[in-house]
Amino acid sequence: MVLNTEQITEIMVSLQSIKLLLAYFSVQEVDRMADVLYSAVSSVYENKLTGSADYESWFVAVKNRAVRELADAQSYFGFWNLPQRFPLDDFLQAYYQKTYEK
Amino acid sequence: MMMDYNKIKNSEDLKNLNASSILDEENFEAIKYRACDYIDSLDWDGAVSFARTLEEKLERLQLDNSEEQIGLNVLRFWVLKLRLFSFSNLSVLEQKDLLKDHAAFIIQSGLDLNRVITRYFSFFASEKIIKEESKSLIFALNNNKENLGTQIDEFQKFNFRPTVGNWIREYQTVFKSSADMNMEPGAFHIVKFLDTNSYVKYLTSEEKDVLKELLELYNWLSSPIAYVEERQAAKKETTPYITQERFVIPEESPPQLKNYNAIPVEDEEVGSSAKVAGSVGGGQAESEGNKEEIPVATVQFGRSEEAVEAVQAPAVAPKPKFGFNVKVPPRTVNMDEILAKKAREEKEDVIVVKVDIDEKLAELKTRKERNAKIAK
Repeated sequence: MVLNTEQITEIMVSLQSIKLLLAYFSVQEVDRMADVLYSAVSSVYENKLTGSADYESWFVAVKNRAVRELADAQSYFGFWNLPQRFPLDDFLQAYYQKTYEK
Repeated sequence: MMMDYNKIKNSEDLKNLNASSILDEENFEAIKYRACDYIDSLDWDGAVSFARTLEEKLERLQLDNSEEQIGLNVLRFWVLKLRLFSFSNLSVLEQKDLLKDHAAFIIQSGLDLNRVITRYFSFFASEKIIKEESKSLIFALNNNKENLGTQIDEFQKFNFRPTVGNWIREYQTVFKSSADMNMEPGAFHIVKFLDTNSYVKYLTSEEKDVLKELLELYNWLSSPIAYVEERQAAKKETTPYITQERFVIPEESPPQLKNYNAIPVEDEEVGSSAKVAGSVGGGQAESEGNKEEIPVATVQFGRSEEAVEAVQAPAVAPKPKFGFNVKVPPRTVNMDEILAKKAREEKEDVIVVKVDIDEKLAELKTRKERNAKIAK
């Protein structure tokens, strides 16, 4: 199961650690960030790495992809080290909980 | 409640906004929305004007709590983001002020200052202008009074003010030491400085990162041509600067005539047969296939002291792939002979015809008389 960009935005806004970073983003950039994360999560899902994967292997697969996607997109946001600045671990944990641990 | 992101459409709308209401959520989001829109639509002039108006508004802002301080920092970040985006459209004073007053804040905010300035430099074709621009930016950095170091008490013990300008002056002592005097500042100097300087240990790891970024910026402002050229070369990989090439004959068998007598020869003979009869010297070329050294003829057209361009060509064909070698006559070039031949040909082209008219008329007259006699 893959969440859509609106659901991803909801997760981002709900997390305190991401909220401060998001304060620097315009609404267009928040949408763009949701797109970037959606792309990372769905590409891993399409590769069937998430089918029956446990959290650890899912986390590794998605994080690797997300770091690359964030690095590619950082010039759009103006941040030169976005993969480091974005609290990806918190986001992925929240994402996994919402998707698989209902 | 739906947020109206289009509430502020331009600088005029922002001007009309009350400074105290600028941090209200709707205004705050609308300002970011408009600023982002200027960047997305590549409106440099609009971005400059919007940044100026926003900065004016922020200067008049009275803060009540820490949350508002965060809001102010975010909007300052957007002012800088807009200015960096439209860096080439800023006035010279604004460009310098950006480095003089905000360099550390820009780096702390995670904005890529290096990339912006590299892009700005790549607009200039003249090396002289790039060097002048970089000098003035270095001057601005040297005069930067932003504090970089929160442990003020520790620095005060040494009577050291941790401003960006002072950090750079400290750094300059590393590469201006006698051993490294002729070297351009590089990554090595930064590592050495961060390891050995007595004040650096009072910086937090985040502050060290910012200092490292600043010093990297300083380094490449000190030798901007190399960086710009490197960037341009990476961009234009398809247009090399090579103006002179070495010709290498491909390792294929030479064309053979039906009655051509193939004469097996020793390798040494092929090598030694290459004697250059050209007007100037030769060299050594390396064949990729068998790695043997092949004498190379260098032929200059015209007199050697007037020669403009030298063309290098291997004097003998490399060893063919099949079992025995075919003796190929060495390619010798004798420029004197060629020029003499050309001169001869030019001379032969001019045919001088000398005709004596009186003699021709007399001949014609006798021919007419003779014909008349025959007719009788």
